[in-house]
Amino acid sequence: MKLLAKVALTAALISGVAQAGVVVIANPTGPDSLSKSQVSKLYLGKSKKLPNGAKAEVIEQAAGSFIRGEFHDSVTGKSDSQLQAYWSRLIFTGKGKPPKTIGSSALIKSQVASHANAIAYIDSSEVDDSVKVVFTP
Amino acid sequence: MKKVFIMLPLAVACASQFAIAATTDAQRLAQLEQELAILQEAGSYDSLSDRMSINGFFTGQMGVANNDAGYGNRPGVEGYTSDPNFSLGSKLGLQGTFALTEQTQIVGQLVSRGVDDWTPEMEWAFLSHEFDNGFTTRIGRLRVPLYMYSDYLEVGYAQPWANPPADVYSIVPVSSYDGIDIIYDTDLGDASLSLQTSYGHDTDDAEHNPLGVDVKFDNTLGFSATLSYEEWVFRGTYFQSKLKSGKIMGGDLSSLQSFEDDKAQFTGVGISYDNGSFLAISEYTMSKVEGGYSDTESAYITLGYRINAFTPYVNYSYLKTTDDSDRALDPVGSASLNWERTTYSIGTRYDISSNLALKLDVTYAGDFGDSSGGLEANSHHQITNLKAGQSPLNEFDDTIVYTVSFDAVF
Repeated sequence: MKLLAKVALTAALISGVAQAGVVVIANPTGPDSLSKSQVSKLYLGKSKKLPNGAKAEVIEQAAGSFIRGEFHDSVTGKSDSQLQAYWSRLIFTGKGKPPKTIGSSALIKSQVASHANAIAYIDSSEVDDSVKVVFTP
Repeated sequence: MKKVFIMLPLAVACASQFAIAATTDAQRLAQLEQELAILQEAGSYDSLSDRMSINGFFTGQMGVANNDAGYGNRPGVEGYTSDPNFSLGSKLGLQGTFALTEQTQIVGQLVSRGVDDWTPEMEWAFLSHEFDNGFTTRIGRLRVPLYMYSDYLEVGYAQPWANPPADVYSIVPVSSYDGIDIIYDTDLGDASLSLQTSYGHDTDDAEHNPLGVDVKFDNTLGFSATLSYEEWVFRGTYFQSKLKSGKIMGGDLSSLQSFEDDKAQFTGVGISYDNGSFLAISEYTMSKVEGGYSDTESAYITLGYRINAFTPYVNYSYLKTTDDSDRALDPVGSASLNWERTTYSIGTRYDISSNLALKLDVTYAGDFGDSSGGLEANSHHQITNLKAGQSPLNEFDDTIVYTVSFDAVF
């Protein structure tokens, strides 16, 4: 019995780990879903608007954080250094500036919950009713 | 006993405090909510930090060559020699961006270069306005968008190389102009297209050129188109200008006399591919100037591969003049204005942190043929030989330049 319990627990843990991951969130009144290419364009400043035409408020996690690496790895395909080089090309030509960075998932979630046009990403385990998931990489 | 007497009033005091707190919880919550709303309001677009940003870039570079051929600068101007040079590639840039409205901004970028004794110069200074229909217009001091990397020519951090390939990037002497441009950005399915037209004027200062006189680039007019599709970027550009100058004083170039409204034309095409690990960039350019000055053709291809923090690269490039026959009867003109060379580079970028990169580069240039290779030391040697009645031999058949560069953005 004990062994069976252990196996079940381990399986639950593994599946739990496999399920947890980064998800893109929006305000409950925001878009219902976004494609990978739409999310990528928003995070690279290539598009500035949500599908409904409103100006998107894109929020980044802190540079060097694990979740930021995970998100960019699967969505924009760029490392922190590549992102920095990418944005420096836009900054020093006056063509754009990187999204606002907020260093805590809790603050990000409250910001998204209170801003209709906000887009952010957090770990799926932190999602609750105040926000909605619009893309899962 | 004593202790109880002391503790008792304290407990009463505490209890009464809790009681007060409990009765005003709802009020305090309302107050906190209000404060939060004010903070969120302050955090919205109108705050100063959102309207204004200051950014900077820095390159600290050392270059040294195995001889005094002087490769690495524009043709006719001394580049790297056997004396370690810390000035030629080093620079500091500071940029301020001020948003007037959500669609209108002012951008100013000051660049101090080691080669100019760190005297700051305004490289960008413009007012831009973004219209809702995809058009953006900018007026003021702007970059001449001749090459794929023109816009961030001096931001070493944004480039894979220690320096952009000199055979291509040193051909046109002006990098900024005073004028106006109109940019149109549009999406074509998954691809994005950017069209740009530019008009303005600039001067190539005597202190930077081998001619010894200011050369005006008047009525500079150009078009460029950039198409980005997934990992690919395709670019084409055409620019023309009218050159005017007083008497050319540069010793070896005085046979040119002066520029008299001579038309100069530049055509370039570029392609790049970057899938995150594999990187390929290539550009081909042609320049033509009416009158005696060199017409050129040049190109490069760079291949790189990212392995964690390292991005090793190789580069092949060449430069040649295409109007040598016009100078067939002018040995002094041929010595200074016929250029031919092939360049090979191998190097690596190493990302020390997410805003600092170290680059190491070894560049070999040779195959000058009968020309000076665009190197001032060689053309001067050829002319000295000619004046002594000897055949115009080169002093240097080739050169190797070693470069170490620290590139940062902040």
